[in-house]
Order: sequence, then C-alpha cells, then structure tokens
Amino acid sequence: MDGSLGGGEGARGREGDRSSPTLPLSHSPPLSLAATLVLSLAALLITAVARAQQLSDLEPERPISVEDARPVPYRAFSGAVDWTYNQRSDALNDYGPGFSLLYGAARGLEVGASLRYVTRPGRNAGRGISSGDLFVHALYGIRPESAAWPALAIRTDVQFPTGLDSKGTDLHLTALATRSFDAFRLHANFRFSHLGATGPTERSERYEGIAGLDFLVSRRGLTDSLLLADIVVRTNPIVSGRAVITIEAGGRQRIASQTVLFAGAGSDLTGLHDRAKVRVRVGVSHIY
Amino acid sequence: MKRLGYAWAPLLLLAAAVVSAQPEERFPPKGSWTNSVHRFFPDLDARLNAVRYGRWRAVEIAWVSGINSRLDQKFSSYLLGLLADPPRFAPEPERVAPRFAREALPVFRALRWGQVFERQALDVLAAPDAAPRLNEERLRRIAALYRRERWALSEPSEAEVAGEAMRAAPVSARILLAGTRLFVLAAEDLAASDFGQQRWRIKATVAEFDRSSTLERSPEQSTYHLAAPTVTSRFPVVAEQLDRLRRFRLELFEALVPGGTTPESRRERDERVRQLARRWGLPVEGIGGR
Repeated sequence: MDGSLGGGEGARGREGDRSSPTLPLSHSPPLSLAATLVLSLAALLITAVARAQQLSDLEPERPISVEDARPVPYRAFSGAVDWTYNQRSDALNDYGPGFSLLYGAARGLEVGASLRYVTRPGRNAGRGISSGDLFVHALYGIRPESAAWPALAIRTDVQFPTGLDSKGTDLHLTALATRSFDAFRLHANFRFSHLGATGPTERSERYEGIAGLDFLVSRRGLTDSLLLADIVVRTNPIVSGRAVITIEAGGRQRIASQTVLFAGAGSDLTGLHDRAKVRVRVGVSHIY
Repeated sequence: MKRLGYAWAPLLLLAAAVVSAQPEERFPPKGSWTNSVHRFFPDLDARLNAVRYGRWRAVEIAWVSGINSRLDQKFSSYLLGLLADPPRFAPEPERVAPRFAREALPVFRALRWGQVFERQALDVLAAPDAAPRLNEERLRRIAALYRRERWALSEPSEAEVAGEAMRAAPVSARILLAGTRLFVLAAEDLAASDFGQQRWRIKATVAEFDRSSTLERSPEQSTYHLAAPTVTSRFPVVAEQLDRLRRFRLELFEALVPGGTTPESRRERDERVRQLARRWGLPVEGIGGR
C-alpha cells in the first residue's frame, strides 16, 4: 500500500513534483527517534494485551499492498505496527513506523484507522510524501466466496490532511476480489482516488490496480506460514507521466495463536526519479 | 468542516452492513480463559490441533473424492504423520478445506462455529482460575453465544444413521474417533480435578492417546455422556451440544461417501448434504452448484 493508502510515496500523489506550486505550509517538527520509539512501544502494548491474527486475513501493507476481500470478523480487534525503509533512486532514503487498528463493527463490516510517519519530513514534504496523514476506512464484504463467485468486497478510505504538507481531504474507493484454489488464492484490487487539493501539474484523479497471490508454504499443509506476491500498476501522479509499476513479495508467519510476524520487500520498476529502488517492511499484527 | 467532506463514505458502508445483516459468524467470545489449553497444556493442544487438521482434511478429501479404502490408507497415513509431529497452532479451516468451504458454505460454517465452541469449552475448563461455579457461568455464557448464531446446530428428530463411512474408511475413522475421544477425556480431566491434578491427568490421557489412537472403539465411547460423567453432570447443556456436534460430523461423513468425482456422484452428494443441512436446521443455499 505504500504508494497509495499508507502515506508513502504517491499516497498523496505529489512525489517528485518539485515544479508544482505548493501552499505555504509551516513544516511540523520532525518526529524524534524517542517519540517514534514511544509510539511503537505503545502500539505493541496495545496489541499485546489484545490477542490473535488469522494468517490469511490480508491487510494492506501487512506486508505488501494487496488486500483480500474479507473483513475482520465481527467484534474482533486487530492491531499492527511495522517499520518501513525506502532506499530511493536519488539516495534521499527514508524510514519510519506505521500503525493500524481494525475492528469488526458489524457482520461483514470492518472499520479501521491507520497512520504512517516517515523521516526527512522536510524533504519528503518537498517531494510530496505526506507523513502523518490519518486514514479512516470501512471495508464491506459484499459476498463471501462460493462455488461460482469469488469473495467480493468494497472499501472506502478517507485520508485526512493531518500530516505535513497535506492540502486536502482525499477519498479512495477500492473494489476487492479473492478467489481460492486448492493450494493458493488470487486477489485483485482496483482503486480509484480523488484528491482534494492538487497542484496544476498533478492529477487529481488516480487509478491503481493490484494483482496478487498467496500460498501456504508448509509441505504438511499447516496454516502457519504464508508467502505472497503482487504487482501494482498505478497512475503517475504527474500529468503525462508514465504509469508506476511496483513488484512486491513477502511472508507472514504465525508466532503465537493470534499473532503474526510479517516481512516484505518491493521495488518500483518504473516511475519518478526518486522512486523506491528497494522498500523493506517488517512488523507484527495481532487480533483479539 | 471541509476536511470532513468525505467522512460520509465509510458511514455509508456502515449503514449498508447494518441493514443487510450478513450471516458471517462473530469472533469467538473473549475472556481471561482464552487460549488456556495452548498456554498450560501445550502437549495436549498440539494433539488437539492435529485432530482439528485431520477433521478438516478428511472433510475436504471426502467432499472431492468420496470415502473409500484407497483414500482411507492415504488419509490415515497423513493423519498419523501429523500426530507424530503435531502442529503448535490450530488450523485455518478455509485453507485446509478450501473447496468444501466454497461449495458447502452453511455446513462448513456450522462445523467451524462448532469447533470454536468446542475449543472455548476446553479453554474455560483449563483456565488457571477455574472453579466449578465460575466454569458454570462461563460455559453458560459461551453456550448462549453459540446458540445465538445462525450456524448453531439444533437436534434433529431422526435417529443416528448407520456407519457406511466407517466401514468404507475404517482406519481413518478409528483415528478420528480416538481424536474426538481425546477432546472428551481432556474435558473430563479438566473438569474433575483442580489445577494441580490437571497436569498429571492430562499427561496420562495424552500418553494413552499416543499409544492407542488406532485401536477400534465404538462411536459411543467418544461421547461425553459415556466418557465424561463429570462434564455431563455439571454442565449438561455443554455436553449435549458437544455430543450433537460429534453426531453431526459422523452424519456428514455418511453424506459424503459418494464424493464428487462424477456429475452423478456430485448430484447425489449435494442432495445428501442438503438433506443433512435441513435436518439440522441449517440453510441449504450455497451447497453444491458447481
């Protein structure tokens, strides 16, 4: 999801657009290492008193962009924390934590919020990467998987401009589908985004398509380790820019009854001059 | 206010979800007892996990290929391999039995919700603060929550069917029955002793299971009414419900004997499973139709 919903590159869709005019915003102070650690520990504590993640419930950025068409169960809480490092083509690398909380608010409906911080907030703000935008979402399972139909869901995210260099409230609408086969599952996500405020050279309406698959690793058929991979194609945020293509792969390993450790890596194959050559993410999620 | 301009979007989905009231089951009830068996009796939990894997795998194989002697050999060796090195965590049923989950959704959910109830009941009995009165309260609560779901099983009026599946796959049936008996005996051990004694009784039960998981026993020996008198006398509602679940599983295997290898056998299998669902008060929409 880095690059779309997670507040990473492209999330606000202003990356690399140094020439586009920006609003005269005051820069918020950079997130100190101590503050970051406190936030990470707080999230870990919240999730430690809670319990349990289903390995197959894929959430964006846990560890890669693709998401499955299944909300968290009714009355379940899920919390996750991760650390992401981006090595960029222009050597202005960044890193930072991401947090998310999900809740099964009704049968078939998940609501949640997420937040991501990145270092170099001044530089990142200059190239349009928001740090600290609040995402609030609802994911509604339209139908579960059946013999003839894949599981279908719709997700809506509202991105509030609570972070640095945020200029307007954005809306993201996503259609999700998941089809299981004997040994693996296929996922398709299609997202439309409307940005509330853009510069003259930026697109205010963007599209993103994700195709992904996941499969269990165990030869004995145990459901404790999952590998997943995806390819993401999204509109270039700059008018007349080429589409951005990203490939990602990752894994999820159950480390306790309700806790999952995840790690993933990805690379933007095409895109802007400061695209992420390598993106690495590692984190923990927990359901209760 | 302008910043909140799109806040209507998630609210719209919330309204849609409330209105449509989907049949998804809820997350298992939570309490201080959650995962007690896993935490305090890891050897027992690992074997119970192997049995859980075995049950789902058996249902998937039976759904696809039916029940016969060739599969009996294949499945029983898989299950024995699993028991030799039992898994640490419980399975995700939809990944172990994906086709059954897609093509027999109501029955799949009834089994999954039953498994949640069975697990919760053992966790309550294994809780470190377990006491007869507290257990009774907790079990009453989880039983009420179980029954509130659409996928809870209600007792059918007809008598139990004959053992066609058990004759077709005797070795697998013996191991699965021994697995069910392990659940029953573990519940009895946990209910009939205090925290100090539980450890030794469970240890003995696990050792006995390891020695005798392939021995022949009648299905009745795996019932709470016969093998767990303390559970039955103290918590009759829970014992009845768990016995009902055992009976439902047996009847499901009977219904799956034809398998789904040919169109005719698929039709027969689907019709049998629909009849089973009707008898047990489950919806039939979503069964078969491939």
